[in-house]
Amino acid sequence: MKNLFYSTFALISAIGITSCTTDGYQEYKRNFEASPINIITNLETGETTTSKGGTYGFELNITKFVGTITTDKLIINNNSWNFATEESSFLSVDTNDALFFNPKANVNGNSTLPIKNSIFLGTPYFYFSTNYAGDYTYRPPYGYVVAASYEIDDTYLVRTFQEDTFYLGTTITTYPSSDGGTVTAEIKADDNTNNPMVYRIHLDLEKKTAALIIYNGKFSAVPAEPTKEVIIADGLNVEFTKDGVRVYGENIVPEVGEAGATTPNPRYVFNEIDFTTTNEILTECRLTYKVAGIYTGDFTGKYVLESLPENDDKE
Amino acid sequence: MKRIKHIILLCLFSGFTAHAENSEKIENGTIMLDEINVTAVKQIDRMREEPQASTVISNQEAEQLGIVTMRGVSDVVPNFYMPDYGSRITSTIYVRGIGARMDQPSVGLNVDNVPYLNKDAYDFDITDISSVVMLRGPQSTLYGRNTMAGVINITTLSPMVYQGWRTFLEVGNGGRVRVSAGWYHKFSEKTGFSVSADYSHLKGFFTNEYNKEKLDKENGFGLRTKFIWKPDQELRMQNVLGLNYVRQGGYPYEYTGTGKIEYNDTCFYHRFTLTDGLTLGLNKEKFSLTNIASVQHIDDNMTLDQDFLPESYFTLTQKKKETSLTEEIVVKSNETDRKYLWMFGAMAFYKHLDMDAPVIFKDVGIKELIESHRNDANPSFPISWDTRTFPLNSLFTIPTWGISAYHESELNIGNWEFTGALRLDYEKSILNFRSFCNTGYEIYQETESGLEPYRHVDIDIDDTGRLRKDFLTLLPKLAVSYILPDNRGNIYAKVAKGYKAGGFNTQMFSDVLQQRLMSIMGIGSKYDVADIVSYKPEKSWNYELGTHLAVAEIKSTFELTAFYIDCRDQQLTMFPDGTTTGRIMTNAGTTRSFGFEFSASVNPVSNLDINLSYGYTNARFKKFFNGIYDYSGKYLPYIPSNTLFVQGVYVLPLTNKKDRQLVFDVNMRGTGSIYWNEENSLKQDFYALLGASVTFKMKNWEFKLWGKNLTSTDYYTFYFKSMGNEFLQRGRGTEAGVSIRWNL
Repeated sequence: MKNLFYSTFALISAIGITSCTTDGYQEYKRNFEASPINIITNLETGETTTSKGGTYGFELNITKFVGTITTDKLIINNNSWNFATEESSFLSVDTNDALFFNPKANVNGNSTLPIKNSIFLGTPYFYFSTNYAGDYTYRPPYGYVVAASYEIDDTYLVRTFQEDTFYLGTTITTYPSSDGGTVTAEIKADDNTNNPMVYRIHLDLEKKTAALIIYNGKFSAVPAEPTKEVIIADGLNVEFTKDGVRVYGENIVPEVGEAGATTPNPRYVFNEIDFTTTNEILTECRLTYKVAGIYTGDFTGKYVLESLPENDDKE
Repeated sequence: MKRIKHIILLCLFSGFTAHAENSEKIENGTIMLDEINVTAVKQIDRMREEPQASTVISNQEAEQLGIVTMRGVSDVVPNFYMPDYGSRITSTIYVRGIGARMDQPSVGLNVDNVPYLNKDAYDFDITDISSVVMLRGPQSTLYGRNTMAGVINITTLSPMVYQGWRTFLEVGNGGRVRVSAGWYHKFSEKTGFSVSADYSHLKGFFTNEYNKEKLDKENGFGLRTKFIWKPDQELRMQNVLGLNYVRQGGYPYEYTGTGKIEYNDTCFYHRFTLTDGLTLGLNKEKFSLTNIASVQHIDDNMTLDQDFLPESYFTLTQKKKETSLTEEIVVKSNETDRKYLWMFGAMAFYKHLDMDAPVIFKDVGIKELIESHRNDANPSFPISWDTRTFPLNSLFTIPTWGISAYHESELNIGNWEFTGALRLDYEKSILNFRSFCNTGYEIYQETESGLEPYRHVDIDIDDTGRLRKDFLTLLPKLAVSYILPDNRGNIYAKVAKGYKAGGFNTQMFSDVLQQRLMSIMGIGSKYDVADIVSYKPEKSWNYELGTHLAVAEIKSTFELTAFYIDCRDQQLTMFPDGTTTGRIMTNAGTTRSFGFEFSASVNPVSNLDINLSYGYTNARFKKFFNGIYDYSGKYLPYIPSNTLFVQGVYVLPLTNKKDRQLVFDVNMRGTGSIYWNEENSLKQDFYALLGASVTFKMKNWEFKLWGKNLTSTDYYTFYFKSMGNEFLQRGRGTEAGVSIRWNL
């Protein structure tokens, strides 16, 4: 049903645009590209590797809502495997993004290496404005990211991820109350929130480690608890699997922002951290943590803002 | 020449003269209903036929009760409360449940027709008062901004009414000395000039246990000149120049933890004010036109030991220079016997304020408010501040200007009088601020060999900004009166809108800067400046029923008023929880206030006058949630539920010619109960202060022996909480003295 809806929507959109567009009306194009990390899982062996480099380029006709995706310099299974999709329709769920479901393509033009069960999302990545001086200064890329998931034949599953992903969402915190009980509170952050609490996962592919960085962080909803400008838990473990990305660690003493730099603060030791991606194109996540033995946090969020539709065309 | 005079000059309304002539007929008593047209410039009709609750205090009454400030007025006017909060800068007035301690006043003040725009300058000594007129209830339609609860119009003695010398000397306990001298001269029927000066000294009643010095010492000086020129029957010019200087000590705040007034840092308040008001009047047969222009300049310095404790936490200084210009023109019909009377007016003002308000953090404040918080948050890496004192600086420039136009119409049909008025008021205010701080600290690391330096932190904050606010409001008034026959007074009903301007709470900047400093250190949350320092206008709808009665048969006058006030966004002063340094002006949800006032002046037997005024106010929050607590249904703090004044004055002639008299005055002033906080957990019960005086009067001089609070009643006038500490201000005990007045 959903498949019919989206197909119909695309068709109506296409027809609608086609109807409105006549000779003499200008067609608008948008092109962008991005170089994410590729997480490659051999579906036969279960082995997962990563590669960096290679670009995904989107060429969009935003008048007709059709476009193509072309890769360049992708290395998959030590092979230079690239593809260019046929022109197909896309959805725009939010402003300026493009969501393709199952565009037709063959790797290197080889019909034995079709691209299947694919979602390609190209979206601008600009809403975070938090800056923090120091090792983890965030400089907004003001560019585009590509979040994709696709299979090559039935052999490889490729998913893209970013070295830095920033998440907004909802944190459920629990902490002790003054009467000896436990308080549960919800801290919500979206792009309308003033000074939102932002979670960032930073991957260091060379060291094969990751860091969790929390901006404007609080461990409780108590007004008297000061907001920490930045909290950095570094030296976490990273796992790439066919399910996505997992970052985890235990007993990490964080660096806490202070006067333009950071100071280690054993008082806020992270007893445990567990981050996992939760959707097909790895744009959504769940993060749980425990701090100082008394605060717990359970965060669900996204690094893109759209509520993405399901890929109902999967085989 | 006459034409030139007409062109150049305008005459003051003739009601001024009528008032002056009649004032000599006043013997005793506070007059509720007046034979006289006071506040003449903005009154269409006779006072007792106006739908207006009012109290008039004559020159004699003012001298009888020793009233030289607005605070003295508070004692005798029902539901009017102006407590002593420890300094002349804090002129807080509550009327019928409306009022706030900071920033915008809720009661307007005019002295010799000159409006005072800043209530920091309200509290000053005024000698040779001719009359004080207190109009209760909203006067916003005719008087504009910040007259939501009423207006006080003070008129000083005119050289056209009195000629000669007036001298006064008073000494009393507490090291009190007051001296004044005034020279009043009429050069001709057209020209008069007066100059008066006064000096006051107070050694003090309260002792600072820290240094054993008197806290509330004071020295003050005032000078006033008045020049009047009446070139002809139609034109009048009056110029009044006033200078005032006061220098006073600190604030007698008792810490409840110890029961002592004891603090180590300097507290004082110095203020210089200059005012000049030029009134030009043209009085024609059918209309009168009055133009009032004024300039005011205030230069003051308030410095406080802000923690009011013997430990060195922090001090606050607030240095201010403000210059205001006002211009108002009023045109109204003169023919009071016509059915239709009208008045039009326009007013403009400009105010420019420069303020320098640093908060100095000192050793204990740094240790307990900053270092300890930071070290609790990260005990493994403790800090030590570079210096044991540093300033958080704040500079402000606030230009404000406004313009308004108003109209009032009165329709008389038989004994009925219908009044309608409307005012359109626009005001704009800009706050330019700069908050800056340059300091630093060292972070240490715990190692096996002890604490070793880890990193030095430099803090350099320099924030500037600009906030703008403007307000446009329409202020209507409707009233209906029934004029009682035989000049007995009236019965009336009135509804009017009241308005108090919004603005900027500059005292919160020190807290904004402190929190900014702490957020940089990772132990505080940033405040949004606009949210914290701005507050909205306060608006109210006021409903009133009243009557003025004069019963000549028993030589008595009465006034009875009942009121209900519905107030939105009431401006309240709050002391935030925690370790903040400032106070917040916030807008409460909605409040309501109802009550009544009763005043009587009775002359039951010859030579005996009895005056009574009583006010009851029930003022509560209808809806107020401050984000943490819900105060709906609670009483508004700082507002007395009852005010009471009872006075008996007996004149005993010592000769048949009555040129020698003994005047006995016994009076009682009662106030309370007063809740001190929004939770209504603390209050001051009703208390009464007994006063008395005996005056020996001869033709040109009088000798008085007086006393206040003769029973040494203990009471408190103020309570507040700061940094979790509670403070109370005691009221003064017994005061007594002698005074000599000599008029030539």
